[in-house]
Amino acid sequence: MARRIHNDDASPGISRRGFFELAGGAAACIGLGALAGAGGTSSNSVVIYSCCEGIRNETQMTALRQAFPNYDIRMHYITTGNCAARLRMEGASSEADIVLDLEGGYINQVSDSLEVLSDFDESMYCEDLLDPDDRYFPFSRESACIATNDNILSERGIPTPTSYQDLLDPVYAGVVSMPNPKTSGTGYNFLKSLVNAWGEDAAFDYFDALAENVYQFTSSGSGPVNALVQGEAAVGLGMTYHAVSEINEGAPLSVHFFEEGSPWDVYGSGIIQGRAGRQAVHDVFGWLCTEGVRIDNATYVPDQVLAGVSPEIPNYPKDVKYADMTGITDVDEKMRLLERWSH
Amino acid sequence: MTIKSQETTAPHKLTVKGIKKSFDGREVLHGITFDVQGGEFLSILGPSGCGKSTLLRILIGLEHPDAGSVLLDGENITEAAPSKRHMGIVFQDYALFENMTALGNVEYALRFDPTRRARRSQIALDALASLGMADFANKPVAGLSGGQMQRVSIARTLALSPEVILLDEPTSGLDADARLALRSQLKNIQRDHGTTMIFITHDQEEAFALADRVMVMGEGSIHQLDEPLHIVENPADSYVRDFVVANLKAKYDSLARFASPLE
Amino acid sequence: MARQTSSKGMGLLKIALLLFFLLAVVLPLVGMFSRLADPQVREVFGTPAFASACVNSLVVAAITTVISVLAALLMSWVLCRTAIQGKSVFAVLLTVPMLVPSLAHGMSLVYLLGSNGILTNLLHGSWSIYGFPGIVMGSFLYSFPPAFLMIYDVMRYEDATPYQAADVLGIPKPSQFAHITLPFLRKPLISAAFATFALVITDYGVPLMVGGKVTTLPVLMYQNAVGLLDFDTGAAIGFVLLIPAVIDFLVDVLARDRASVRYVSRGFDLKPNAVRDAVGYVAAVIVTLALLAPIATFCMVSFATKYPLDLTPTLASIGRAFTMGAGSYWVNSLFTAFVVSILGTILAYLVAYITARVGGVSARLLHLASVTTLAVPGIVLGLSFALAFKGSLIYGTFAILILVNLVHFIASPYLMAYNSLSKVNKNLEAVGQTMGVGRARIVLDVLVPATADTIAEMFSFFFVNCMVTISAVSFLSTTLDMPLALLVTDLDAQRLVECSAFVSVLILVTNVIEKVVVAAIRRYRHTQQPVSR
Repeated sequence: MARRIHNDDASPGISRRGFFELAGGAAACIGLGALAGAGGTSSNSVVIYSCCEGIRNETQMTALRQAFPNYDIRMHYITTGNCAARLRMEGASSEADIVLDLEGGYINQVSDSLEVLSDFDESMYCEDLLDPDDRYFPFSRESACIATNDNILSERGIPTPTSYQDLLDPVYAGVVSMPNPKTSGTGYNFLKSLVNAWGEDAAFDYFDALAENVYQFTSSGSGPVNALVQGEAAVGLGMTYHAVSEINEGAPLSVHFFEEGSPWDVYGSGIIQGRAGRQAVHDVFGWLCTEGVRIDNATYVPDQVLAGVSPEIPNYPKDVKYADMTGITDVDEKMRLLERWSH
Repeated sequence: MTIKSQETTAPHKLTVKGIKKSFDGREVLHGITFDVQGGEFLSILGPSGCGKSTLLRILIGLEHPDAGSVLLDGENITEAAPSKRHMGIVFQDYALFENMTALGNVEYALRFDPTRRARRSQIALDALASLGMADFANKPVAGLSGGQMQRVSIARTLALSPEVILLDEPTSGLDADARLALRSQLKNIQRDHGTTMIFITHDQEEAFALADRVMVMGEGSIHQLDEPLHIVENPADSYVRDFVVANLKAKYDSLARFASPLE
Repeated sequence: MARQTSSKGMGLLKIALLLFFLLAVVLPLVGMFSRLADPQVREVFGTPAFASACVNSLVVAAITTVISVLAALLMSWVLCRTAIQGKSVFAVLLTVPMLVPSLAHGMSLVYLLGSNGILTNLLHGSWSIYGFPGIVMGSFLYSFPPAFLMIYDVMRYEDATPYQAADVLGIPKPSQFAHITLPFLRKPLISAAFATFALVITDYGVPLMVGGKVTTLPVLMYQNAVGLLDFDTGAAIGFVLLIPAVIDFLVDVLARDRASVRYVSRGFDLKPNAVRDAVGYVAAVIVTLALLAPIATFCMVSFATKYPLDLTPTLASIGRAFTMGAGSYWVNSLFTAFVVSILGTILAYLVAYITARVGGVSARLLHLASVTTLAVPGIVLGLSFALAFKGSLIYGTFAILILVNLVHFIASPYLMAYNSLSKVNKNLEAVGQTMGVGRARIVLDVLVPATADTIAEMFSFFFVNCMVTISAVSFLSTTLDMPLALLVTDLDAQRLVECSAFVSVLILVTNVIEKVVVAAIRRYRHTQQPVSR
């Protein structure tokens, strides 16, 4: 008997034709998928990686769409660490055209992938926020505070802390939350501010002692405020604007500063290498670093970023004394200090 | 090894010459030579491990011999594909397609043969009928008993009209009644279709009851190939004497006391 | 195994599969680990942080393995050897935690047992789950279902005859358990133990949420690669995480050949026994509640207005989640999951066919390749892919996501197919050969229908895991193809806790629907072709 290729037949199992149809369909899907990913850009599209959180992004996008109805603008939230890691790894071949609100230390680590911004005017910004290499412009100055959940404090009979030394008291055992400096710019800001204020050894000794009372070093900067809202923490070293936005939504939090001052850092925006030539990218970036900054500054993060502009937001502390943040964007210093961090 | 074969005038159907096979350096078949007559019922008898299954697989083409040749009707089929040898094989564990019915199993291969595709159901039913399994045509094989499965397995081979059917220990999993039923069905097939049958067994009684000739194998060699009666009368060597004749005698003795009422 | 002459087609297939594993698994991993040649990279091995992370990882994995495997054994016993009602319901409920990302388990433990947790407040507890307790609990939640399935799937087919013989001989039940049951379950117990160990030691979702101050190796890797942007150190740590993979493979190879396959000649006749059944009920209820309470919690959170301050039920978070893109990410996930499930099932089946039924040197290599991928941590795979395929055609597309998921999850479905195909009659291809029917047709017409239930399990496994995975894809996804599971972290980082919880619910519901559909298809198939076993 000879072997023949048989035609479609009623049979248990899959017919040969059916099998190949399935395989062909799958192959087509992958092909489509591959195209879908790669072909996402046109001359009118702009992809923005933003480390601003949801509501800030939404405000920017609404205004952007009004300003540029003809451009296809895609803004995508990405956590600080992931953003920097992707840019570092992908460099100029990243899918992003613009990076928005990336913390100063991180943006310095990836500055090789960013264009020099000679085409744009930087005179409007506060001088202490500028990048000497002109690779990024300040988008915001984000400061940190000691936030407390006052309900939890009173429920457990814990006094409101007035100084860093207070926090070492055993009464705060297991109720303090702090971001991990290794994965969060906010956490590193706290570390660096105390290194500047007390000297390196004293600062590290302090944090070794504080670690006894910290129940978790969160991986993201928003972790402590999240924990405060959930009642898991009573004291959180977190971002002021996070805490304030929660207060404005009714959370029983309050914002405090110790005498060393409020740690802060510049959060910058830049254009990925090779993209500045595109008109759409040029226009959108121009808008973001002027109008975008103004809107964000006035609505969410009022810490001064533009010279002569000091907006006010309900419940946001005014006239905050800032900590000495010299060298906050120095990458080598950051790596050295973080190598010593052991928690 | 002396091989006493009957001189016949019937043409040799299957000629096997000098088959040698080794596995992992160990030779399991030491130059097997014999022939089979057309329409003959040949039994290959031997204990486990003597190489009979290997020989069967070489005959059907699932294994290649290291040396030697196999001829069917004078044509050298040693290198031919299993499906081109006009032979069928029935495995010890039936190897049925358990997701199909009995009919499905038997007609499956016919689907791929354009000359018989249209009539495959009828051909399959006929094959099943010759094994007494026509009533089970639409039953899923997974629910059948061992003996029924065996018969479907034979029907599956039969449907392709092979000239030689090889059976590997066909009755080993069956109870006594099924065994006897199968024996008679095999004889019917031999009679009705003239199919040459070669079946492997380790059961001396079965070999001797069914076969026209018995080939006694041991440790990769043929010890004797002859009609059953001649083997009992003249065992070729001590191996044949001990393995075959002594065993049959013991069985006979154990039943001897029933001899007269049974007669 | 049938020793057959291999056709040219089979040879080509083997080469194609070997090439696939070479390019998709070996090359990226080797590429990443070649960075270890630099002595500076190896410095991390000498740091105290690394040493303590190793210890922490080992302790957590060991403790969780013991708990998960014991619980899995207990629940298998309850479902196989007691006469409680609703066994099929329990069997399904016990596997539900697999349908959710591990991050969600960590988050839900905080909601439930954190310092301000629901149960903590209810019971006026003053414990802290952060650290070892939380990691072990969270790890138990997602590692129990696979361990349970491995043991249950074997125990339910155990032959009752030895036990009946033992009863007649007057051997007490505990002795029977120790001397009959445990030896019978030796292989699945070992498999379950090592699979659980590997699963736990490579997870970073749970420690990130409830790890407290306990750093484990995956977290250390995450801190270095993503936090410090030090990919080399990340790669070095990833290398260490491969050690469980090697051990797991060795154990699999050594344990395989001694497995005794006993076919069921007699099932268990379970007569009601008040004490035993009461124990069974209690155990089943406790374990099921422990597994489902965290899930129920985050379901609840997703409908709260502002957890925990305002628990008024609302659908606003759901709407918010969709405006944040949950809809399109959901579609991305579905697309990826479907393609991976289909391609992965086919691929795993083909490889299993070669290793189970064809054999040869290439078969051994393929088995090695498939099984070792089991314990390659997702984060290691993702990073190695990102480094290896950067700038290539597939980078930044669905294709690379599909590929990484396929490689990440292929081991278990491969083993399922391998076990199933090994059990099917060995002579079927030989039958085909003698009848002039080629291998491919035997596979499609006979093997596939015979192993259809396994194929459904394989599909489900790929699908569910694709929906919940985070680690491998976090390095590789773009704005256009980002899967839904990544939104869980992103929303949480944006303090949109309720939306994040809803996304977990969405993933859960999708997986439940998939399982229901597959189960329905299976039932339909079984009614069409009654196959009595």
